Amino acid sequence: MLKARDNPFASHRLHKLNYRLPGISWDEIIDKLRGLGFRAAVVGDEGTGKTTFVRELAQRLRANGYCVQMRRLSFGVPVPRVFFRQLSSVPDSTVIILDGADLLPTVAWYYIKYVVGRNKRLIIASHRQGLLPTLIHSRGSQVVLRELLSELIGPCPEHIQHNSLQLLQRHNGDMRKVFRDLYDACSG
Amino acid sequence: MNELKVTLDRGELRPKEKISGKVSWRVSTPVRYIELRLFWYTIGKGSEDVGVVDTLRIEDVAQAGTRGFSFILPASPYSFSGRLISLVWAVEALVEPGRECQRAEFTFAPSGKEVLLYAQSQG
Repeated sequence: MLKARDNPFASHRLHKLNYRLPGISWDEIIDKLRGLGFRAAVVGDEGTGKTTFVRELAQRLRANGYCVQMRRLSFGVPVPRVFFRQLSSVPDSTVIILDGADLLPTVAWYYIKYVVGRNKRLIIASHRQGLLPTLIHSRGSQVVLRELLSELIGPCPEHIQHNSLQLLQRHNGDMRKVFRDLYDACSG
Repeated sequence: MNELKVTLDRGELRPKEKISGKVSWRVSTPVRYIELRLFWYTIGKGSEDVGVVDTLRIEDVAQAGTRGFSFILPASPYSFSGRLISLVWAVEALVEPGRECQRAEFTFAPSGKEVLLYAQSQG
């Protein structure tokens, strides 16, 4: 049996993985954001790296001199009223990143749009398109999975690669679920 | 180049014992203080948890030096490992201001060794 601390798919190791940008650089992403007036959405299905993307985007924006505030909404956890009050007091120059925006009830989403007005900068991560202009569409792909596997376990044996790609197909591109299954397979 | 190192006198400790060691540093910018943290954290399949048990601040420090430190350990939680989760103890040093951070891990349990949460095969 492999101890949890030694498992290559343990969450602390997954958290260290960087987002793999599909043929675009971070500078280009930030330029695109400027072009969109800092109103944009990262769209993608469950487990495709949206949270990793916005976490890394926040770091890059801070390194470029922007002030960033990140908020994360969780499934089943009601949004406290103070959240909206805090949002309204954020300076216009600050970039607000809201992860899990699609978890908000429609009324709450419209209220947020009202609170941020025309001047505040807002980036959201969401499963569904259309809330704000799309900055990037996050997808789980075989290429990305191969790269991540090689970062986690080094040169990847053929049978593990094969199994992982099958898992990716079974989980409809949800790489988080693939890594959970690989964790279980490794733990024995 | 910045250097920071935490060394523990012993790697296996028991509840209520004293843990001691040394922190050595050499950094290129002035140091306000060095903070040492005695803490545990969990790693594994799910979300992670952390508990800071004690902290110690070393102030009036030069840009390079070595200092000794000690903490008294609590009664629990013990270091353990299973398939889903491991609990790890460590002493971490952080140099302020800056991002330098280093840690040294140790095991903490009545036997001094990590508790294993699975049946070992009979030989």
